[in-house]
Amino acid sequence: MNVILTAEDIAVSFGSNHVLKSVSFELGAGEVLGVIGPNGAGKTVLLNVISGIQKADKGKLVFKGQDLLKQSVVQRARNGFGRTFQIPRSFSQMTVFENCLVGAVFGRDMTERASKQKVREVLELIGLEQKKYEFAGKLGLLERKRLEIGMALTSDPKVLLLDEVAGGLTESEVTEVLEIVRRIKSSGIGIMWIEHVLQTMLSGTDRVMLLAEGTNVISGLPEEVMASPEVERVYLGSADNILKRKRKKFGAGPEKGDCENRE
Amino acid sequence: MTHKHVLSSAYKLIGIKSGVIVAAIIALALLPLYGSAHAINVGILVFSYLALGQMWNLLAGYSGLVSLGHQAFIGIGAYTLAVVTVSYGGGFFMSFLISIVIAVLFSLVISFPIFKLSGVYFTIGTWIVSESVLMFFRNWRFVNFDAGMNITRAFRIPQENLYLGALALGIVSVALVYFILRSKMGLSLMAMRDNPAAAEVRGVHLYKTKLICFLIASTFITITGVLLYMNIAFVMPGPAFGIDWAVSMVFIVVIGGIGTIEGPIIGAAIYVFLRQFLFNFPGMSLIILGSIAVIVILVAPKGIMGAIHGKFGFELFSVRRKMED
Ligand SMILES: Nc1ncnc2c1ncn2[C@@H]1O[C@H](COP(=O)(O)OP(=O)(O)OP(=O)(O)O)[C@@H](O)[C@H]1O
Ligand SMILES: [Mg+2]
Repeated sequence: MNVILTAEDIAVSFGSNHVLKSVSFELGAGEVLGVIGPNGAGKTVLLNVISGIQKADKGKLVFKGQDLLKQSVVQRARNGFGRTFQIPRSFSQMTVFENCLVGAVFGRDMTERASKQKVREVLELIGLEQKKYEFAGKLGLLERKRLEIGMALTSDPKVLLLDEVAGGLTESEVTEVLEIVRRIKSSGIGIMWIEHVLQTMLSGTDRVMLLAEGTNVISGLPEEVMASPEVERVYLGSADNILKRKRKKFGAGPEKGDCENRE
Repeated sequence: MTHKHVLSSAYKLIGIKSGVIVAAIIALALLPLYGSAHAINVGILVFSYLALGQMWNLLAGYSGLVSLGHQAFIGIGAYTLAVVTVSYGGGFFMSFLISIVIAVLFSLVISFPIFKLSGVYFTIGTWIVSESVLMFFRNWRFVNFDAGMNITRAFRIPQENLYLGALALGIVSVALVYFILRSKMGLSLMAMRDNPAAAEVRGVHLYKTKLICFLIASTFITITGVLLYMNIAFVMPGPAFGIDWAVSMVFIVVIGGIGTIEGPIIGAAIYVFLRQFLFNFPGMSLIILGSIAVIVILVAPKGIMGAIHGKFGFELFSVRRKMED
């Protein structure tokens, strides 16, 4: 594996809430690393640390021999980090085309004219070519999630960070997203992909890492990790999920002391 | 409709739009030939306030810099005019030039502390800066303390000339914002307007972009201050650095439509006509202006132009990007 990103002993806390205690991992070029973990495990926080919008208390993040934690958000974007947001953050009063243009122009520090070809390619990839002049604020959820990927891709990233781009989508929509990710991967981009949808982890990733209790508990081949007792204990079998399944089965209302509000 | 039809009607619309804009500019430029003295006076105010509103719009509507302190720059413009012409016997052109230099330097200096603040703290910071400048001028012997200065050289300027100057400032302010928005920086400004944090993640330098807007707006407001006081011809610290200026800028932009180019044009016209009308109801004017602002915010939160754009998709000055051009 040709490693492009190495994280060592990353820690983040909010007051007394030690969300990440020590996280370490490696990401290879052209590799898709799945990240799973219970709600509130700190998956999004980890992505925020990598893209620079969240400061780490300690740790190291090495990319091309440089310590990424010393770089600003803009420097990281221009050095090759693209990301999506769990709750899409497109520019609602701008068109799909303009949204992608922002990434192409400022993520690469190029002129608008020189960026149009890039945007054209990306729009084709994410399947929004037909909607390029629609305002982002008017798009449906699937389209906004695709646009998130598009905005991240136009900046020519070396590392792409995906935060639940398949969450909330129907099965056939998930298949489409899987196909998009497959095509991105084939161009040699390293992808870190947070997702709760198990299908994506099993068929869309090369490796899966379980993030729980503030650390990377295990990582390995998708089938191995998914079948491991750790995943059963902290994730699939966690109190939240058992409660949720019960409620689905019996149609019971919210129970006292459950963790609904965390979602 | 076929593709060709859509295209040709689009071109027609663009043709009509620029035709209307050019015709309006010509008609306004010729106003001194056919308009009354009153109309010319109103015109001076409308176009000066348009320039102020457009610049405040650039700050608050696009950069997220909600300032209640830009009256400081009007005062600086006014006093530069007074000092240059009265104390040093200089001319108006010299006043404009020197006011630009002072405005750029002053906004650079104050940007260091106040850009460390964000949101409402930034707003309070700008206000504190302008109040401090006011205090300074009140206690400054050189500018005659609170008693103010007569700008004698401005007494004999023909109103027509002031009108044409104001018209030019108004047009340049609109054109300036239009061309900024069409430029690469404009793309970042529109992204910042919609979601600054996301813009930064996409590679937009928030600080640099905001600072450039701040410099442009401060300088242009200073120039407008010089012109406004060529008309008023008498400067005292209280009115020159008064928060009324900031309130009027806010009113114009909020009523007209924040974050739109057309908004301040509509807002400035409404504001000046309302002020003229309310002149007959002293004491009531603030209440009435305030009520109108509240009603507009409730009925059309994005102002008049925001509502028109939302309903009909109409824009007089489009800055939309196309794949083809
Ligand atoms: N800016 C913040 N300030 C304070 N606490 C935060 C902040 N961001 C995240 N947290 C806390 O950090 C913890 C981890 O949140 P995070 O969003 O990373 O979870 P997650 O693993 O992405 O969960 P989910 O699967 O629900 O998206 C939560 O307890 C959250 O409340
Ligand atoms: Mg999350």
